[in-house]
Amino acid sequence: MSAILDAAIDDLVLVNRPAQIAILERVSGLLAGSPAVTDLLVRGSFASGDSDRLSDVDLVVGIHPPTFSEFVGAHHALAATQLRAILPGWSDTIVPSMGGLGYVHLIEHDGKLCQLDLYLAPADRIDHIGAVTRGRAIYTAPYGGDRLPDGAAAAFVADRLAAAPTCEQLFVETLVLTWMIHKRILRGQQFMAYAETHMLHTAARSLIRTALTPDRAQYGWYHLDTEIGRTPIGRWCLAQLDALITSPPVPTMRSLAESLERILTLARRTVPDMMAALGPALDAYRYHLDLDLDLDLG
Amino acid sequence: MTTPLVQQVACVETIDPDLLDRVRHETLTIPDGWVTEYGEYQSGGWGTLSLLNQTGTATDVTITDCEPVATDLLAAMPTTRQLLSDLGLRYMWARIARLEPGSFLWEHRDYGELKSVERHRLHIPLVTSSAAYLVVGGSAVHLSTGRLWRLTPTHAHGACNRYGPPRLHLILDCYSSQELAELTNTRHLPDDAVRPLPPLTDALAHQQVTQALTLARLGYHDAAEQYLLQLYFTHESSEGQVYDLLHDLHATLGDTATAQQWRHRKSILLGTAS
Repeated sequence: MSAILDAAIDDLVLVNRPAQIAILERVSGLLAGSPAVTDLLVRGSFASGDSDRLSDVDLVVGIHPPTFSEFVGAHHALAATQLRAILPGWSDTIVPSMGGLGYVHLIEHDGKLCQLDLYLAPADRIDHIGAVTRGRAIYTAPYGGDRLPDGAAAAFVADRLAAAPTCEQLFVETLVLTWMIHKRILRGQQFMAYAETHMLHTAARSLIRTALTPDRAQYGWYHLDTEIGRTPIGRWCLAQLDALITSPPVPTMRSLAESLERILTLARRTVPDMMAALGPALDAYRYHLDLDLDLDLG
Repeated sequence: MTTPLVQQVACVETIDPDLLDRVRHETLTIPDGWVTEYGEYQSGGWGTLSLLNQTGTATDVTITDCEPVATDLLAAMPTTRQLLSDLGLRYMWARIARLEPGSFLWEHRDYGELKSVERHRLHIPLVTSSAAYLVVGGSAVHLSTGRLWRLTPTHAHGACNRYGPPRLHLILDCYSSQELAELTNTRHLPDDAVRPLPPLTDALAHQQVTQALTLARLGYHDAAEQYLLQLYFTHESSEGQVYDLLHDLHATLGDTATAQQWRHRKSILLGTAS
């Protein structure tokens, strides 16, 4: 009787297996196929046992230091062709600096969109990252790999972190943040929703600045009126930004949908070529986000 | 001489939206069991079930010339059966085709293995999105729902569903007939259906091969191949150009056997094998 019960429970566990486990298997199986990958660590809610059905998949990827820059450059193509990433990866500015580079990918899996966070780090940083994040090792290369620090890899990381984001990177940031806020609303996490909404507005502002006055992008909120508001398109952008920042600080689904529409409209007007190129990906994003409310933004 | 796009793919008729809704409902509620065939033509993710075929069994999906009969599946889809009957065409084969997100039917020509009689292909899109499109003559052509489309598959073409949701089409292969001629007599390409792709210049092709080489040298050989094959869906390329890039990739890697395989595969897919 007990064996039958165990088998039945096992069957139930199998059919209710979280999608993230399948994603983890798919992603780790792919990444471990390269001799350049030395380690894979799971971090975040899956490592700590706090995950739910909306949780993202957080992976730290240790990379043989001499191939680090090559791997970082190629991993976007890898995500697009093998992991069904619908957008270019976002250079994660939220993740703490641990000697590597973080990327957030939105990937299609089994009819749903899922968030995959990859932290790419030279192998010599892995022990430190494992200790800081309490990550769980799921793969170590059989040959061990070269773990000596590499000055070129460290310099590459520093250069990437110092580089000003492009319009495309900022726009993808707004989409990733909207995705994250959507998740916060579903979970009832109002404080995180508040924090990420502020980040969303900041990213929208940076997008306007980078599109219209790229040489002054680093000035943030300062002198927006005088620098951006000199032209009709600039004043129109500031009106959209004003509507964003005066939306509810703790967003609702409706206010989030309105904010997304404003940002999409803003991007279409300021960076039309980029938006045309991203068209099919954006339609897919909106389909998966499912915020198709009847909006009238005036 | 280049064949005008409208002769390669065109919208020929509208479909009653209520009828389409019922056909869509039938298609979305039939059991699973999609059959993957023509594996060498695709990335995986292209599955079909037959409605009219030689044997009457829905899972027989390798098309061939025949006087088709209704399959067991079509018997369970009365509205779809009525639609096919009302069109009054001389069918060779009718299928439901499902193209999963992230799936591609590589550049190819169809009908090469069949008898040389005149036949035409009609598409009735049931579920689609802008991420699902054909590439014909260097343009991305999105076949929207609510319309009946004619494709001339003897021209090189490919199909993709880059991001989802799953694309569902009825695909009807028909012999020529008076009814078909009348149905396809007026054809046009709506402006919003066509998106010209940017050219795959030599410089860009070189850059893409370099990226693919990086992927291959990192150990990701499948990704390297897919990366180059997908260029057909993002850039206007000359016929078979992406297969030549695959050849070049493997030749550069020193794998002459695989390089030659891609030469051979190109001739099969494009129907140029002697």
